[in-house]
Amino acid sequence: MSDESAASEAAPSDAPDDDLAAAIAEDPEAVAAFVRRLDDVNELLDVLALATEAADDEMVSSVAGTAGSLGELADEAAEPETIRGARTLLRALGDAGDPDTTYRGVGAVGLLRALRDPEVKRGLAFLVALARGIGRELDRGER
Amino acid sequence: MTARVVVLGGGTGGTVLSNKLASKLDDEIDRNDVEVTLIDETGVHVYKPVWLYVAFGEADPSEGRRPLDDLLDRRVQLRTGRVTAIDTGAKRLTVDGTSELDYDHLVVATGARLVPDRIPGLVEGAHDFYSEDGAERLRDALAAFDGGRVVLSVAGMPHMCPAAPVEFTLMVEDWLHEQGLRDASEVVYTAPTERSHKLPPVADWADERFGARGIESHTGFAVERVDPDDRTLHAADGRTLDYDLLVTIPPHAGVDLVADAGLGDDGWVETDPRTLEAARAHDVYAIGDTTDIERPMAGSVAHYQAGVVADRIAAQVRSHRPTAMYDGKVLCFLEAGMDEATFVSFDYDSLPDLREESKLVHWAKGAYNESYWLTARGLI
Repeated sequence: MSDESAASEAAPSDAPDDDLAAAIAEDPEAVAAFVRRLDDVNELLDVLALATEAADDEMVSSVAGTAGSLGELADEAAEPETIRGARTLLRALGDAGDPDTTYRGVGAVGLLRALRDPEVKRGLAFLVALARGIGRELDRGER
Repeated sequence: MTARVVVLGGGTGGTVLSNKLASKLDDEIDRNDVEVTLIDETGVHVYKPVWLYVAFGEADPSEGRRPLDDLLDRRVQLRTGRVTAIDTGAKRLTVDGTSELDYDHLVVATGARLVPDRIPGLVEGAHDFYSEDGAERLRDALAAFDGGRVVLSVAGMPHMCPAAPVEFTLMVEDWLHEQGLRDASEVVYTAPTERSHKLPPVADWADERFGARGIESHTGFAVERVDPDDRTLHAADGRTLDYDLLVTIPPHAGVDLVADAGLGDDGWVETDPRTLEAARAHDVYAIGDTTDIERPMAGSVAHYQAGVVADRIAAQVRSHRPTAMYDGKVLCFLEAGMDEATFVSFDYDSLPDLREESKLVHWAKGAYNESYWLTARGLI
């Protein structure tokens, strides 16, 4: 008996080829649709292969490290009161960074004049609360 | 005693290396055991791959520029100036012809320069996308183009981004379709190499597409001169080609500083292909386009080499024996038109295996170009 016929006789009836033939016979349309979609899957796999080939150990650990730090930061920032405070600060930063804003030097007299502005007064109240919070955190860190 | 690491050149290699050193040696730098200085002539980092897209009106040159100060870790000292001499015996640099700077470890990452004037008529007759000005002029010329013969000619080897000539040719062919000018135009490609690309798998890939898309390809075409009046390109073997719009990859050269310092004969640093140490001096490394290593002049090469040299220098300043080696890794994208791309990836032990082009890889290239600044920062 040749090796070839031995292999053929020994092949189990549920070999992958048979499974495939049965699937095609059962629903040729579905199999054809699946095969058409394989092009898309292949393209996705190409992008995955690109990322795998471009990366090295150091890149993966540096991205994972940065993502980890960002995750911790996001977790910290997700407290509702932190979001409220950060939104206030970010919007104020946006106003202050507006390209139309001019930054003239402010001396002692200018500072006193600014302190009469109700918006500056409210802002200072925020900054005092911020300073108190920072102080509390620094104390905690030192303990 | 403080170990002084000096990096010459704020391109991809020099910038990535400086940031990686700052990150690896942060404690040593904070303790003043190490200082890292990057010297660059302009203080501005330029991401050159943007220029290909500038030519097609898809990007603005400003998108490829950032001040080095914004990209460098605060532990890196940036010095703007031109290094005019390297004394590798005394381990001393001369900056701007006057001041001196001593080093313990030097990394040369000064890149390559364009020398279009080495071919008569090239400056007057040819466009390029290898400079900001050139890409902008080409954008205007393409916008005004109303049909005719577009010739892309590789006028010198080696050159930066070996994929770019094939990319431009396939992109311009597709772009002419989009503009409704393809039927009124011919697209011609010339290369001085025996085949359309030095790497056989890339040549196979390009030839198949050139053939299918009616692109005329002339190989072994060593550009000798350009006649801007007759609009003719002349090869050394006597062949001539007419053009209406000529785009060339200008010849490149190494930098005189390297030759003057005795680091390499033609301005390219003679470099060990794995340790990246300069062969003709102690405690000098070279990375990127400035080496004489048989690798493409590509940002990815400089990037991977920067990682190796950062590891080696970090080991040396900690008095360990450096063991990191460059494996020849290269990764380049390859646009197949305006909307599809593929990529090549290989090292010293392998040749590239090109996949079918796809929109997703084209998007990946676009996404990488946008996030390149994370690479410059040493993150990816």
